[in-house]
Amino acid sequence: MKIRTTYDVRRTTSGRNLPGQTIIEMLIVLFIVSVALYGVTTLIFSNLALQESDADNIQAMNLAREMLELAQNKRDSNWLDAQPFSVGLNTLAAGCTLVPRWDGTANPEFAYVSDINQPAAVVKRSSVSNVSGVFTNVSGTSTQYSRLLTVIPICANADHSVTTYPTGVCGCATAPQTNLIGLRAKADVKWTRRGNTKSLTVYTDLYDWR
Amino acid sequence: MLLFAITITILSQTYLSFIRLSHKISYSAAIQQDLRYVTEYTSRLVRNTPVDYSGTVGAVSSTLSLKPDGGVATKIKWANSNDPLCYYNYIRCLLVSTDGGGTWAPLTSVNINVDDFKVLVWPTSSPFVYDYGAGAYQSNQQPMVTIYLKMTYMATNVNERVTNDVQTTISSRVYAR
Repeated sequence: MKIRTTYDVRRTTSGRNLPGQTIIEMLIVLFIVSVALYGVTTLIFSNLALQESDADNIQAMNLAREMLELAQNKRDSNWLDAQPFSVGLNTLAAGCTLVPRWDGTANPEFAYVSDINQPAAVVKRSSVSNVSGVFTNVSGTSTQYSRLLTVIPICANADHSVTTYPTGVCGCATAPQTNLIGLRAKADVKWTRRGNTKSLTVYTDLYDWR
Repeated sequence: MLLFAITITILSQTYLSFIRLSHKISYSAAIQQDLRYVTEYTSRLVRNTPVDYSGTVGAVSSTLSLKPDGGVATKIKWANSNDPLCYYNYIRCLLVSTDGGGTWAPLTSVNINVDDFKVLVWPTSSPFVYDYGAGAYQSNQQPMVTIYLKMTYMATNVNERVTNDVQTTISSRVYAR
């Protein structure tokens, strides 16, 4: 016994065409499948982009936090060295926008850089053999990240009644805020991913509490 | 028939690509989770526990040793290849010991290989020890530790492996002088 299905497009013995899939039906199916695939693709690729963005954020946050820790370490080391707490942070002649000079092999210091777009602000991967791969601003292969530490003085009146954050100056030379009681350290990190520039900023206040 | 075959081929390839991508996404999430955990764990330790200067301290090492006054050292080290504590013999993990190196336990997750672990301790001599011969402290630098960590998720399919690295520096909050 011969069974004919609705998808059989062969001719019958009488020469009559049987119903089957037409090219239009096929195109409609392809269109629907394409729309569904587009949705799924968009979802997966946006998920992938988010994961990349997360990885960048983790690295950028740690690079920013590292600058704040180095600034705090500088203040603490100044105390141990019987120096004023802000030496090397707000005492550089050129200004108080800085990058860390730390490659793991000498005392950490800061150097003046005018803004985050300068080559000196680019974070590099060290190529020194025992610290290869380590992030540093000293020398090595450039990465997508740039960073800058801005030091802002925390000043007070002689009676400590007023505390303000003057901008554009590194010290408290302007009356009435003549008493430097601390420094606000602001760490900026900037990076580029797929043509988009992203940035983050973190702060900490370092007081001369000793 | 040809059109149908082409369609099915495209669909199956797309499906496989999606599966591969979704694997990479989940592996990437696992790596990031471990990176976060290890950096937070070590940051907290370094902040609150003095650096152990009892042995020779090199500027760069693959072991971090911290020891409170009169207490027992906590150590974190990069395990050697084929260490039985690291789940599989092709994995190098991070190990932690809270009893001075007597017993060790893995700090990183299953299937995550630690490609690189650098510990940079500065200064290399304690600023809290007075050198009577020199008439001064051994150093006037507050201790700080830089951690560089690179990890790979060891997926069975080599193309699905994900590698990430992170670095952080922690200044000690121990003010002993």
